[in-house]
Amino acid sequence: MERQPFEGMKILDLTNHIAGSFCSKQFADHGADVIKIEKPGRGSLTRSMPPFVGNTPNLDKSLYFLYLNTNKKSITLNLKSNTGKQIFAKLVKDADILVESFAPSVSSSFDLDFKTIGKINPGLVMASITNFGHTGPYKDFKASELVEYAMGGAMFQTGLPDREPLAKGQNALLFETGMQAMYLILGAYMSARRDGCGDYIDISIMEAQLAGCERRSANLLTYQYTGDISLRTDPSTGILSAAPAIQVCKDGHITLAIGPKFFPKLLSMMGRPNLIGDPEWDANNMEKSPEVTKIYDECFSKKTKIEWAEILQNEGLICTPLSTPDDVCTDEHWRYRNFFVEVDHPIAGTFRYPRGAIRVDPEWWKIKFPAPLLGQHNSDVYGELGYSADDMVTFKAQGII
Amino acid sequence: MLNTMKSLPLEGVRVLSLTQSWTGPFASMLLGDLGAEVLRLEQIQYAGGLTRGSETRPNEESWLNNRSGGVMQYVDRKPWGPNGEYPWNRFSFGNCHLQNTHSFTLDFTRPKGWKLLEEIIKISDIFIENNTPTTAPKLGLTWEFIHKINPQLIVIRSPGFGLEGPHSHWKGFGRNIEAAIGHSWLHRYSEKPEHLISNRQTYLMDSIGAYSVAVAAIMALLNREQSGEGSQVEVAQAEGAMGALPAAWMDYFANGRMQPPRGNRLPTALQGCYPAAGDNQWVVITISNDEEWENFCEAIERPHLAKDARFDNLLGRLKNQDILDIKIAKWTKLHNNYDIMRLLQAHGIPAGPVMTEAMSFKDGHLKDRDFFIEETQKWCGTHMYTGYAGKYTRTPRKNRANMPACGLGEHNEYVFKKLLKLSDEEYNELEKEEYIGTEILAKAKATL
Repeated sequence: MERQPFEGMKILDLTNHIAGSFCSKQFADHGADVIKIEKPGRGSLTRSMPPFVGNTPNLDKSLYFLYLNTNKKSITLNLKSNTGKQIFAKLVKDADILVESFAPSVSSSFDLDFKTIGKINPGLVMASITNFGHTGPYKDFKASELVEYAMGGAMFQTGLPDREPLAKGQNALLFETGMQAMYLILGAYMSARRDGCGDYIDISIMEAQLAGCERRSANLLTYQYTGDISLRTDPSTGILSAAPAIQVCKDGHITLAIGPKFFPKLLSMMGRPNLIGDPEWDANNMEKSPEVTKIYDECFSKKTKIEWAEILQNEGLICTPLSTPDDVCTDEHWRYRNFFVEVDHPIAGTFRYPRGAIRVDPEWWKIKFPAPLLGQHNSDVYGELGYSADDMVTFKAQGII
Repeated sequence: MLNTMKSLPLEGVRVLSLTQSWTGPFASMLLGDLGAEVLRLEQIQYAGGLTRGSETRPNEESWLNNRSGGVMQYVDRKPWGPNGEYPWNRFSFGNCHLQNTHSFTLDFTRPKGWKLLEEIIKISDIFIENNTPTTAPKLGLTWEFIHKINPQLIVIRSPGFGLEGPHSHWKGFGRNIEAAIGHSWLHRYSEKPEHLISNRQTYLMDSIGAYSVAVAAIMALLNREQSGEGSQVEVAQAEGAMGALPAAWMDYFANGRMQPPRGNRLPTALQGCYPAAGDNQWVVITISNDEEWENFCEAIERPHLAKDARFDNLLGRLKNQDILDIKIAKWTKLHNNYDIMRLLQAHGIPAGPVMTEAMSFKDGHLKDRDFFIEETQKWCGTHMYTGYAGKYTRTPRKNRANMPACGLGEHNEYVFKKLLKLSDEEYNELEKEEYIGTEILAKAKATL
């Protein structure tokens, strides 16, 4: 079996929400030993996040939790208690990486600061993922995903010109932050493994938006270069030529991006080569008369979105289907690539999850086991630390695990 | 001191980058930030990928009259600088992600250039490209060839739809790929037909793609230590984005349900984007529970709202959100969005302004955290650029201010004379024969 890149790496996951959990999931899916430390009782916040399998709220049926915690072990631990802190210190001693996502005021109440942690394990890389970072006037501000997008992301540019700015796909920006956190941790880790000197990384979700490879970075620079701000623009107008950006067809809609060079070819593919050279059908004539629109609608209504995409892309013309989620889930392309893989979970059942985007032959990405039940690995992990079954009964009675 | 002794995380790693717009060049810069030496391969025969602009000789008048911002613009809206500085070195689209990058040009479609490229491949650790799957092999850069001349080299390929599969040959801009992967469907105001595509400015796949490529490169370095050989790694940009939308797919597979478009609303909180005082000014507010609702009513001095039975629990607030949105907007319209943020945050309610670029640069929090970086780029002058994600305490990073966005071919001498040890004479010959240069040829091929 091919070795996974992170085999032997030990990670403590003290994350409660999406960004941190997605980060540690990436490590777990590529071979690291990740221990998720959860609050006794209700566990990680994402366990209670909808949607649920069968639409029934259950700590082991949240789709987000199931996706975010593959290949991780779960232990429960009350970090507020002294005993809990002692047990935690033992875990820290042996870890390479710690990821946490408590609000700054909460983490300090757990003594979860690098000054303390770094004394226990000087080689540890610790990352905190918070809404606004651990310093600055907003550090104790509260945020939702939408607040983060508004303040850090390109929300002002997202949406239609005559409407209010719009959120992007639900929680997507938190996944982006998780991937950034992974990059940052790997950077510190590459250095720490050489010199044995760990690091503390302060990650602000707001800054992650600004520093992301979204159009935001270019919008900001355009403003610096010109003083012009970027506005929301109408997605229905063609960007490269008169060809429509979005077009209705037999079973839905397609998107098009056809430059002037390819415009005559588009007319041919539509079955209207006779229109080439017609001034009304000039590639740069952005004014579309109702007759022109009618001809587009008529021609495109003859084929399905996938058919159009295939036919036009084969000729080098840019066309894609406007896919619904069920289109995506049944698309032959993702099936061919085995992008959605079946995962078997003892309580949630068996169904498909999206796989990781990094592919190598033979694979580094593997699902070895599904998301853990709450505290599923208490006896394994605490046993390894040297605690007996009796010790655990005592801990449990005290509400520590 | 321990701190000063720490070396850059990727010191000694050389990256050869043959990349187009966003994901590829951005990922290369991320590796450069961590200390890798990034060599960006460009050509004076090709104005490609939007990074350097889409025209070889931009139309000055149309740029000068373009005041709409966006991702593509030149310094002072002038393609050519006052001293004849080249347009391709003054373009915001590229200059926001070409820091810590060496640019060299080479026409490797001719045999002599190809030989030189081979030499560069031999001294590199990582090769990144993000073209359509057929481009690199067509240029002769197949995995078999690369692996043969440098078995240690790691190859990262990041095409839109992946290297294999029925749609792998599909091309598209962000908006086209967004549509194909369902994001356009999920990400709109409502089910209404006029909202079918509700956005054309921001796309999901770039952000997650760039960081995934950088992560994949570091993973491949770790793997190479064990195996002694480079690997070919694929990061399909579409798959990265789809991995950030798991609920849409899993709800379908587990429950047979299609996630509806939600606009700015949530099933678990009263949430919206409301107009603030001023032109095109907005504020977002999220009210999750009864306590926050009561605090909100107190903050906006509308105590009767808290007592209104229609709104006294979350289900009621969600059911009546249309009515509430009007009431909330009536209040927000009277106030500045920063004032709203401060007031509501003081009451424990998540709220914040929808920031324009102007607001971001003025924002006190970002200033306090020194987020933006002042960079002086010799063809553009001094400006503030976006900073790094995350703050290290000890790990050193290459300061982008010391290596601002590279000009086209700026590092030709470094690459050919210093690294490949060509003589002055050989170098001059390359220039004369237009293998290398700093000026995109007027006859160069443009992408669009």
